Amino acid sequence: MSRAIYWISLVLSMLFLALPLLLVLPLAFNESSFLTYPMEGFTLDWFKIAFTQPPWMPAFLNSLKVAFGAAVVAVVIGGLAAMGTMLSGRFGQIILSGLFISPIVIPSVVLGVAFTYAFGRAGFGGGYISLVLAHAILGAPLVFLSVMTSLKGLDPELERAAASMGASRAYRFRTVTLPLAAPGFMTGALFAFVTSFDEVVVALFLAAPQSTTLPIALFSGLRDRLEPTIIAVALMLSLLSLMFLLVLNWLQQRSRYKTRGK
Amino acid sequence: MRNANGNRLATVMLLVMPLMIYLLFYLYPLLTVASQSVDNSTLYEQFQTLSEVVEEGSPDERAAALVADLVAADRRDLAEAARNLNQERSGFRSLLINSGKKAEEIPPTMEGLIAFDKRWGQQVYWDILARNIAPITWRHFQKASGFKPDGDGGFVQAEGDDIYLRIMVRTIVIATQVTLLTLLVGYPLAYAAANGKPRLATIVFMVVLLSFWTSILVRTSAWVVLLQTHGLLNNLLISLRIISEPLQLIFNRFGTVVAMTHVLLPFAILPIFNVMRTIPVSQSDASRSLGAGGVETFLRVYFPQTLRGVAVGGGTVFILALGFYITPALTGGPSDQMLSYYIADFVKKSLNWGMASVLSVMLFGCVVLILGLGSGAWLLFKSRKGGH
Amino acid sequence: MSSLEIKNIDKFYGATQALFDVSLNIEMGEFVTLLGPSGSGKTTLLKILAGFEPVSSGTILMNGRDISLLSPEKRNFGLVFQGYALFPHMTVHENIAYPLKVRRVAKDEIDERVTAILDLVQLGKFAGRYPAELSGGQQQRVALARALVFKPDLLLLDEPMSALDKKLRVDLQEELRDIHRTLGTTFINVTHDQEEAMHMSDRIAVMNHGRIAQFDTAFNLYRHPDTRFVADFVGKSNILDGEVVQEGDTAMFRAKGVAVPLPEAPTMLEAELMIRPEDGTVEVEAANDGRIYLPGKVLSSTYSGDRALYSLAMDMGENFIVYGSARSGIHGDGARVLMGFAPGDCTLLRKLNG
Repeated sequence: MSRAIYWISLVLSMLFLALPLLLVLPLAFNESSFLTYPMEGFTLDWFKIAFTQPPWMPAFLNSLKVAFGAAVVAVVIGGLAAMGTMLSGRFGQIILSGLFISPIVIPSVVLGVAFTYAFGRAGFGGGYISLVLAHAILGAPLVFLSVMTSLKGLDPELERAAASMGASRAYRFRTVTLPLAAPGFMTGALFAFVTSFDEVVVALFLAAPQSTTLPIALFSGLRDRLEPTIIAVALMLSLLSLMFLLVLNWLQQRSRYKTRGK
Repeated sequence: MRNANGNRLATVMLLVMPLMIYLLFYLYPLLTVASQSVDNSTLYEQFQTLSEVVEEGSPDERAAALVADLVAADRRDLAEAARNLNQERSGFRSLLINSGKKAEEIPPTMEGLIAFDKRWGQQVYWDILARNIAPITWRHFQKASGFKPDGDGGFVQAEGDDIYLRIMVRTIVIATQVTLLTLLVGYPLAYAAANGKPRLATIVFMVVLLSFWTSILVRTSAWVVLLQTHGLLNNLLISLRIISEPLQLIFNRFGTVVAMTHVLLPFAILPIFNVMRTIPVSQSDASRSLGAGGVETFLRVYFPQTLRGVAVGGGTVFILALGFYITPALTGGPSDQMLSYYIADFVKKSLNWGMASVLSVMLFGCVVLILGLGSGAWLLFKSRKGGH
Repeated sequence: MSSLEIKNIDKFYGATQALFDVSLNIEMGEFVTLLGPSGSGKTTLLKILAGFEPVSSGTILMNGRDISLLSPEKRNFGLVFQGYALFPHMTVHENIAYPLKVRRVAKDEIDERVTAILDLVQLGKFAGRYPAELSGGQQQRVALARALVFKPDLLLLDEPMSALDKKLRVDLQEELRDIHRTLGTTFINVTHDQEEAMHMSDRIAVMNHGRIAQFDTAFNLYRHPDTRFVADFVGKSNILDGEVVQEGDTAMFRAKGVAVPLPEAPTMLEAELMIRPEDGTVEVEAANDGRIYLPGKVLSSTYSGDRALYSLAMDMGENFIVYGSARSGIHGDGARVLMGFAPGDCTLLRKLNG
């Protein structure tokens, strides 16, 4: 009886989680412009449209530019913040961690309003720079968390061992701490990139027409008219997500292999 | 000791840049926008002369100050001020704008003002002015809550003025519904990923992770295609002859809650999964060897230990759901929009920073409250565990 | 003569004192072990020697030079960590080359020295492996090689055997002693295992509650412990509590039911007398040979082939453990026996106040 309840709830939950995308994404190959089954024939036209007609390609390139910039800035500030926080005292660690993580819990609309207001007053609203900075703030906590995790996982004896062999602080950091924390930096960078690449709300506030990102294009498309092109774009984005997931998996496997046996 | 100093220097050097960027591009924007919720600089600057005498000055001094301010006023700023004051008492707009147009002809005495428009003789207009030309104002908070001062030091709420409070309640209700649903759907998935046979566990876990990494927009759009009037679900039900007319599945509360649940599901599953993974199987085996049945073992040994994960997962989903904007905007109707929608609306439609700021403060307050309750409960839990 | 002098070291952690006036003189080339139960301060002393903890007061002199304020990387001491602390992202070769790279040694010489030290620890074939691909014993030897390759003035070993199983431990003790003999470097080893300490060390510093209880050779610690703590911690012992009295020309140790003549008159009045289990014998009747015989009965016995370890309940109230000959049979539980010992085999212990 209890097993039956478990299996039924598991199957239903799995269907709820997986089915929508599995059902909807194949419609990107449907010849008909009606998004419904049965499919009327196989076509790649919708992908062709996505690649050739505005706003998709420019928006995709904008997204790449913004996400790349945001990830770089986020890695620098989140990484430095994590390293500085690791070196400070117990009380300092609590305060600093709270500060550096806090953008995660602030609703993105609130952040969007704040960025728009302050950046607008400072005179650089509505451009790449404002979007990169805003997305970097959203991504920095993720880098911070992932670098903190990998730094905390380091055996403090390793640093001491290096010191006992005569290595200076800077040399120790460069040859021991940094290489071992590298997977944390890369994971953080990946998170920051994806966060920016998928971000809609803040982008809706900040993006000027010429810096429209892919999520904004998708959002307007969805509000406007639901066409198969949107599903084609969604399918490609899903494949991109799958790729990110595989890269992340690989990163984690690699760091696990190296520290295994301890 | 030299070591400690070296550390401190390194710490400061590492932290300078991140702290500067957080300060300039994060804390400063948040604080300036939060200050907009009580900012009254437009009205304060407009009536600067008057604000110095409005409390203590004689009637003629007040009249002279008002006329001077009106003479100096820019036409457009005055209209803005008049609109704000009109919200306190209708008719104020015309009074102020008319007085402003002729300000140079009005003699700067109380008598002259009353002669121009006898409404200046009523104390209520002066009281409203006095309340609204201070450097800070509670006007936006009063509008958001619907509570206004009744003139005797108390507050009254007029019929229909509680619109933002009702939106606040609606936001909390939707967030609660979504939280409960994600936990209900997520728990068995987390259980299967943590305790299922290796193959099943891997599949479930990969699906959860893939869902987590797939853009919110992509998943929301799948639901739109699925639930719309001539969407997959309606067509399926019609072709199976279960229904004859399409059901309204989207642009209402049902669509919003279902899509939000789907989008937020991974945030509930991952924390529960992480806790479940640490519970040794031998515990359940031990319970069963002691004579407890499967259900009893689950309820008395397993489930209580997963509550920490349930709390973290539920809390995360609730906080995220409170601030949701995209999914309700695409799958909800007008009466399913949450606080975020109205915040965005005030900025995009009317550049009303004051109201956007007040609603932001309210939303943020909710988040802080939940976080405070959560960490309080956690501390209590820890102290009970540590000190028996 | 070059040496390491530890002079009057105190160490405080906040209000609690971890080390009390610790002084040791260690000769170059010596193998010294710091031995003590957990919390005795031996690890704290090692951390201070390595430079990871500052002293609260006192000095450390290396060849007459004060090094107590020097940071770890400037001390030129090798250190083998309890968990080995091998760098997981470097191969065995890279791990061992690390201290040489730090010292800017030329690449050819690095390869030469790494190969040589790997041969010394018998790991020549493993140079290209990562630490995670090695067994515990192999990792331990890499850690040792890494700490020795730069010819440190001193090698510190922090419970290097604690993570290994018994068999491996004995092999490595042997190997460590050989390496010590080959290189002639000063070794300072920390352990709570008295057997390990006695097997390997030239001298052992027994530590208790942050103080050096006794610093001496293994033989002296065992045969002539200063205090009851050392006697108990280093081997098994029977200890009688009593007083020293002068009777005519001879000094006598007197406890309840026993009087033992002492070879020379000690200065103290209250004292304890130690008899090692192997110094006693189990007899059925007393002989008139100057030995002392005390009556008791057998509580239990453990037979180990060459002899039997008896647990005896003495009539005077104490319980003793004594090795007895097992060539002609074993006394059964409850049998009335005599425990015999020669006064000259006993050791008088100082009684510490408190």
